[in-house]
Order: sequence, then C-alpha cells, then structure tokens
Amino acid sequence: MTAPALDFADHPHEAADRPAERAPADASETPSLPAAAEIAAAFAGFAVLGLCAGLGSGDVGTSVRAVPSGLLVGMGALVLTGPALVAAHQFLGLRGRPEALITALARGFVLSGKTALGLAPAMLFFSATSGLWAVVFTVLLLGIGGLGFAFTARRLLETEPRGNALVDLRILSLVASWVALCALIAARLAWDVAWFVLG
Amino acid sequence: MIPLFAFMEPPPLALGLVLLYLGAGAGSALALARRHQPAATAASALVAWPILLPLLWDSPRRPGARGPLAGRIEQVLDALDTTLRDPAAGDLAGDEDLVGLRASLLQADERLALVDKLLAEDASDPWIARDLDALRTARDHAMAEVEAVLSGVVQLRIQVGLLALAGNAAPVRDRLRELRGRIGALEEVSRLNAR
Amino acid sequence: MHILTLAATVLRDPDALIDLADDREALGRVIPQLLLVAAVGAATFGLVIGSYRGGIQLVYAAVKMPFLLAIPVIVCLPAIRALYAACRVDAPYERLALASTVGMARTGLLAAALAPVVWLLYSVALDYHLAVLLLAGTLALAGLPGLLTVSRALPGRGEGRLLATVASIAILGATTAQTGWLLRPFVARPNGEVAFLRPIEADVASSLAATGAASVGEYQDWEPEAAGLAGRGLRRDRAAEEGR
Repeated sequence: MTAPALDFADHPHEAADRPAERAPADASETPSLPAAAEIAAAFAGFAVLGLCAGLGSGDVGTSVRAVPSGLLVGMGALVLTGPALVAAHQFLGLRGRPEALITALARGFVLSGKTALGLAPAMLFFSATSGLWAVVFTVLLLGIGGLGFAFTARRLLETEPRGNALVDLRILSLVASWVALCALIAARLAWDVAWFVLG
Repeated sequence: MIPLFAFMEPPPLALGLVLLYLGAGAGSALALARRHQPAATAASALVAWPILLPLLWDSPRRPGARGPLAGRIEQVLDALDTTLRDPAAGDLAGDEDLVGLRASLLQADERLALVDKLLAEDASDPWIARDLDALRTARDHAMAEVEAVLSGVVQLRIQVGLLALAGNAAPVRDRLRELRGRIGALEEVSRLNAR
Repeated sequence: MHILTLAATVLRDPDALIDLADDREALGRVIPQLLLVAAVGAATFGLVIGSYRGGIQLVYAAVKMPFLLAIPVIVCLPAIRALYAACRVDAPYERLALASTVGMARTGLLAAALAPVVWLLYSVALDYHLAVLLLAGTLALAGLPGLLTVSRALPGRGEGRLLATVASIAILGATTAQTGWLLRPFVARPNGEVAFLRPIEADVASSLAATGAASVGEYQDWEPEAAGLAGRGLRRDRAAEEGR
C-alpha cells in the first residue's frame, strides 16, 4: 500500500491565475544570485587548485603565477561572453529575464569553483609526487570547465518557459552558440595564461 | 644491514609533508579521544583522519520533537535489546542492526510529530483543508507502517527463544534488516511524494 | 559486530554497512574495524606479491600494500564528493567516507582471495614485466567492486550520476597508479637491490610505457629523474639553477 501523493499542482485557484499565454516570469520567481560566501569559496577554489598545481613546478615564481591562472581563464571567458549572451537573448525576443541569465552564469561559476576546491588535494598529490603537474592541471581544468558548461547550459535552458517549438529552437541555438563561443574564448585565454605561468 | 631506502636521506620536503599529515592525524586523534570515542577510533585517526572527519564535525543531531510513538518504540526495542544481550541467546544479531532500526524508527516518529503539528493548524481555508486531508491520510499510512514494524519486533523477540535453541542466527539478522528495509521504503515513498 | 561477521557483511551486503552513516556512534565503531579488514586483506596480498623476490621483500610488500589502498581513497575523497555534487548528486561526506572505507575493505578482501591465483602464476617463473602487469591487473579486478560499492551508496540516478561515477573512477584509478609508483617496489627485480622505497622520480605513466615496451622486447633508454615537489623541493628560481 503506497501513500497518496501530495499533489499541489491541480488547484483550481492556480488554474484561474494561469492565462492561456503566460506572462514572462515576474521578479519574485527569479532565482537569487549566489551568496557572497559561495562566490568567495569559488574564487578560493580556483586559487587553491592553481597553487597546488604550481607547486609541482618546483619554482616559487611559477607557483605564484599559477594561482590566478584558472580564474583568469574562467572569469575572463564569462566576462567576455556574458554581455553578448544577454544581448542576443533580448534580440531573439526570448521571455526569460536577463537577471536569470546572470544568475545561471554565476551559479555555474560557483559550481566550477567548488569542484576545483574539491580536486585540489588530488592535484597536490600529483604535484608532490610526479612531474605531471601541467598535464594533470590541464586535464582537471578541462573537466571542471566541461562540468561548468553542462550545468550552466542546463540552467540557461531553464530560464525560458518551454513548449513552443520556435522558442525552444531559439533558446537551444542561443545556449549552444554561447557554449561554443565561451569554450573558444576560454581556449584562447588559456594559451596566453599558460605562457604567462610558465614564464 | 637491511637497506631501508635506496638513497641516503629522504627529501626534506617529503618528510615535512608526511610529518604534517601525521601531525594533523595526532590532533584529530586527541580530539576524538576527548569526545569519548573508542581508543581504536582515535588510534586509526593517526593515519586515516580524513575519513573520520565527520566524527569531528559532530553537529550533534538536534533532538527532534517526540512523536506519538516514541515511548512505544523505546519500550519495544529496549525489550528486544535485553533479550538479544542475554548470554543464552548467543550472537544472534549485531548491535548495528538494532541501532540502525532504532534510529530509523525514531526518525519516522519525529516526522509524525512534525506532521501532527501541521495538522493542528487552522483549516478554515478550503484549499488548505483539502491539502490537510491528503496530509492526514499520508500520516495515518505512515503511522500504520511504524506500528506494523513494532509488531514485527515484538514477534521477533518471541522467536529469539526458538532460534537460540536451534542455534540459527541468520533469520534474526535477516528479519531485522527486513524491518529496517520496510522503514526505509516508507522514507523513500515519502521522499517521492514530496517532489 | 564481530570482525569476521563484518568481513562477511562487507562481501555479501556492503550496503547494509553504509546505511550506518547516519549513526555517529556506529560510524566510530565500524570504521576502525573496516580499516583493519582492509589492512589484513591487503597485507596478505602484499605477502604474495613480495614472494616474487622473496626474503625481506615479503615484509616490505605486505607493509606497503595497505597504504596503496588507503592513500588514493584519502586523497580523492574531496574530489569524489565535489564531482558528485557538480553532477547534482547529494553525497553527504560521512556517507561517502564510510562507503569508501567499505569499498577499500572489499578490495582488500577480494585481493586476498585472488592471491592464490597470483602466487600460482608467480611460481612458474613469470617474466618481471609480466609480473608487474599481473599485479596491476589483479588490483584493477579487485578494485572494481570496491568502486561500484561507493557508487551504489549514493542516491539518485541518471546521466549525472553515471558521469560522476566515471570521473571518480578515472581520478581514483590515476591516483592509485601513481601511488603504486610512489610506493614501489612491490614486485622487486630478482637480481635488483632490495629497498623499502625508491626516490621520488618520474611518474607512473612514463614507467608503464617503458615497462610495456620492455615486455615486448623494445627496450627504451629511459632514465627517471627526480620529480615533483617532494622529489625536487621548492627553489626560488629553478629555471636559472637548471641553466635554462
């Protein structure tokens, strides 16, 4: 015998409030930006991962330059592509709020930073015991970037009410284009940052 | 002479990292000992302190409100515990089986307490009343499940005597796990319904 | 719980142990027992591995093998938690820590169970490189059920969970391989110098490549150099020192 489901979706008063064409999500439904502590933890995560990687070089200068490397690539790509994403979103006439887009990007950054913090002990292990610091750091950053993109893309898709085929196509195309552009910019920044770190 | 290392002296930084790790382990061991953890637990923290961190973070679980069945749960499980600890009963079940079942039942009881509090709220709004009816039905089902498990425990206690004579421990452990599984299934159903 | 009962539960029904994660008291009692089971199982396997060379290597390998299981788990625990969290799988640290310890114990016991097979193959004068590869293969075989124990312990389903599991296996596998290199030798060369540990040099990837090539008769001119922070230390300007 299973318990009856508590289904809050079928209330008549909700149906009455729901017109055929639903208005864009109002401010009260926009998810909030991550807390300052979460953003600080994300920054710290990238910095700690960079430091753990840099120590593997055995050089103080390289270690110091490696600290902001992940941040430069990640934040740089977000800052350069964020405004373009919002502008294109509005240009395409999509209904989600720009604040929701910014929140999705911010949450993706926080997720990436926390993942970086969790991976730092493993990075330190390889830095301490092998000469593979650069390879492992690159692989980990690629993995973190991939997870961050996947998470952010999903959140961006959730900002738009679905159901209309044309709208779905537009939001999917926008998010796919943003992911591709962001990845290319991140790769370009990573090239310069790598030379900076290696001195 | 037995060669311990292929090189004359270990790298100082390597030694430093190892000492740092062991130092953290020693600190963890002391902290665990102060929290009255068993000696074996404190000793194992010397080398495996990252695994034992949850014992150090201990945010002791805030005791939830006692629900309608808390007294009966304690009474029934204490009786079973006393029976199982009797030397004549032999090694029929491990402490972990009973401890786990007690924890699961008390958690279910705390949830009942929360639901009872919600049900006591004003239901003058017809839409709230409808939701409360659904909640009441779910609560009655959960209560029936907990009482069924407690009945199972009472029966198990009676069977312990027979099983002790036969020297067969497996049915007792299996039955305890089955009862835990039933409470676990109740939790899972509640979680699914809440989505 | 009696230690033998615990060992049987680890093999038959590890999920029942992992459910104790919510109970701090049970957690504190069961973790040292699991570590002991893992250590004894791994040490038994280490004894067999050390028998390839014999003598003092029996003791060296038996002492080091438990660390080969424990170090990757301890190093990768935060990483595994972060990966599951990134894939939207709620992984409470205590549950993950207990699941990892159960997985470690499971691996130790399975490795000990496979030890007679390894001994049999070693006893027919197996080539050194094949002996090393056999060690790696056996650990991989024994390690997989342990890894799956951790994955099954976590709630949720879907592509996110699968991705997190694959990533966790990858990072744990790489760390275990590097730990094996760090704690070498386990299978000491028959005519080589016996040592408890060797210098921190090169890395597992290059050594496996050289071993693989050597096993098919292609001997490379491979000279390992000191590597890593622990192997070389930290210098203000290593590049200048090395004359770059």
